[in-house]
Amino acid sequence: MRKVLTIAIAEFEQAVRSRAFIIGLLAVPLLMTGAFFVQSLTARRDTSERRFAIVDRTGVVAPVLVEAARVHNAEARTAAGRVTGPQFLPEVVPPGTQAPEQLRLSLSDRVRRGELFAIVEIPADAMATAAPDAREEDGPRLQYFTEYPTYQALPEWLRREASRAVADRRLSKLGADPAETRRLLEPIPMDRKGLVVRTVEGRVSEAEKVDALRAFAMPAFTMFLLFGLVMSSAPQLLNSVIEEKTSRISEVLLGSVTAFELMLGKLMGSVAVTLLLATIYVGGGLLIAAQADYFGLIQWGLLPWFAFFLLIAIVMYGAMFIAIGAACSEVKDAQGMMMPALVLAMFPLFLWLQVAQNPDSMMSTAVSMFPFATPYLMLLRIAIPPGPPAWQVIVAVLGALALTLAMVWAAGRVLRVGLLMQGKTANYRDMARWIMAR
Amino acid sequence: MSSAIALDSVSKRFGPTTAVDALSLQVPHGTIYGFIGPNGSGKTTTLRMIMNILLPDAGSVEVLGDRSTAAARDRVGYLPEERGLYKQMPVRRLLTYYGELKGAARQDVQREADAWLSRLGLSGVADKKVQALSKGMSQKVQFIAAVVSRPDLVILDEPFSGLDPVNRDVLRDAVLELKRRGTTIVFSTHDMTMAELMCDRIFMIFKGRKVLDGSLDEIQATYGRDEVQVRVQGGGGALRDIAGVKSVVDHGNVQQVRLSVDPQVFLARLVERTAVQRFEITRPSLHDIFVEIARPTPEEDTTPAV
Repeated sequence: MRKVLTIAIAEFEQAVRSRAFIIGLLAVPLLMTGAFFVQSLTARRDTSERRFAIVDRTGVVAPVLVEAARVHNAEARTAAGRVTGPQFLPEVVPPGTQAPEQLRLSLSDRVRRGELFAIVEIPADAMATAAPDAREEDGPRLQYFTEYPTYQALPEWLRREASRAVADRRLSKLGADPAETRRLLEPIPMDRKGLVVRTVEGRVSEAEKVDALRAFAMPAFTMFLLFGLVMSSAPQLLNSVIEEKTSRISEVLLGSVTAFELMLGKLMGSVAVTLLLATIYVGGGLLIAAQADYFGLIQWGLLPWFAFFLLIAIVMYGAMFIAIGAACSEVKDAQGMMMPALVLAMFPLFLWLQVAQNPDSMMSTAVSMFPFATPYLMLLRIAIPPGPPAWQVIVAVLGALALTLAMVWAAGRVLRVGLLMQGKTANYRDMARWIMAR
Repeated sequence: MSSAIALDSVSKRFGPTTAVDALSLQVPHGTIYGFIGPNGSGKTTTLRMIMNILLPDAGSVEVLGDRSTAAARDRVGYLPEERGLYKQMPVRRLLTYYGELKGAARQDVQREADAWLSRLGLSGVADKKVQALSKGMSQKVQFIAAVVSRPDLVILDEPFSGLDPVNRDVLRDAVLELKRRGTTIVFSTHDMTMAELMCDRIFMIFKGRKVLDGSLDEIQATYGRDEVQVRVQGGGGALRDIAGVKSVVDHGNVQQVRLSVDPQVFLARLVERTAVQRFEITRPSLHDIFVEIARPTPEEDTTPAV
């Protein structure tokens, strides 16, 4: 046991002292703030002028759009005259008498020359209401022509404003007041709340308002943090085993300790590194939450679960990566060998949204009890109130523990044979044989 | 006195190849034991079985009086054939780590490591990372790693390969120093001169089997071809018709004579006949013996190397 500790300490020291650790430590928060910063910067930085042609065959929508563009442009400009959003510059093109195709072609040529950004055509029957039994595609449709199909701001704005203009006309035609009608059609907002209980004083409690951040973001954040921590440390074990193998350190080590002791030491070192990282991230997160007055959002009961599932996941996936490292004789061989392991480690992430939206469905119950996914998805389900029934948690935890022990045992067997194997990378069949060998 | 290492009909197979075949061996305490043999003859496999890195398929391995070599492992130091050092670790930390893995206390290991580092002229690089060392330096570090826990038995697989003559001497003196402390040393080498000069006993393995085992004198006596080199008045002609002479190779000034009788008998007969200026019983060098045993037979020569 003392030797296991010695190995764990050396592994921990090596990992913490490496440049990769420092970079990894800073990379996550830096990337997150960086992405946030860039996004908020670019979101506001679309201050381009979008000149577009309006071909209005109704004769009434174009003036409304021109006025709406004026209002829009004024709103996208500060009092000091600084532009804060895209400027929409409409150019009304009278349809005239020429054929629509000719007009489209000449306007398209102007777009190609860069004089215009886009063209919108409002069909003559835009004011007509479709027959009640007609399908949607039978009704009148706006036509928008552009070279930049991914640019959303202008077509979105056009659709909204043109729809409103057309709706106003249709309502007026029916004799209704458009402004009044719009007010009448305003949707009723809804508050989402938890259940009420009888308090100790015998009163019925106030229901707590459930906000989206708490219901969704916190569980998701917790799960993704777990995933990030596991992925930042478990694959490192693969590299460290391959290094020991290729530089023949394994031979020296096996002259002093058994393969199993070596593996336990490595796993313990890895757990220590991850716990350090977790403490830094969670601690930092709590600090930020306290600063930003989000302290009420934190589910303290989740912390022990987080630590528990983190441990399970590190040991389970760590053992898996150690075994793969022992089977490889070069780092580049590891690429192919890692694929199945990565798929196992990542697939819970693809399911997280379905599980979060419907945490007690059959599918959510099943996948969260699949041992490879339990650390992530069971944590997610526990984080979402009211949480899964106790028996499901117990079954899932027992399953994950059993798998973890099996992985450690199997990885120990693979390591014993694989460490001294040189020159040839074993495949999964060889590994199975090593595990089953007497 | 019991042996430091005792192998009893040990065999090890890898798939269809038999790497070691019914090998028995006794290494006495406090000796320097040389392992020689051509590449691929089973040296490293044997050493790994002694280290308990590999388990024999048959036979028993006893190390320092312990049958399950796992228990004795902490008292055995090992320098593997190919160097195994963490490139990113500072030298002193690495040595402490390897020593601690042998169960030694950290302070003892550190003291021992510092002593060896200064003895081998490496004090200046104690805090440098291994990757900054030259080949000779890392070889010496590897040696210290094998002995830093003060083991009773040290197994060195090719300790001198790739060293320049100066470093070779430094390492040789270090090995002799270990012997003076009473450590048993087993080393494998391709350097026959080194083996002749240093080893108390020499062991040769060829195709998994033991072909030589004994002191240099014993081996030379077995493989001695009863040859003498003489210089006599009258040259080669004076040697004609002496009883017991099988053949003569005349080099001009000296003659190489192969005998069928004891050299002393031959000397007496020679003195009767002429004046003897030089008389030397020549013994085959370890190099010659090695080559004679391991030289491929003509039919083997044509088969591709395995």
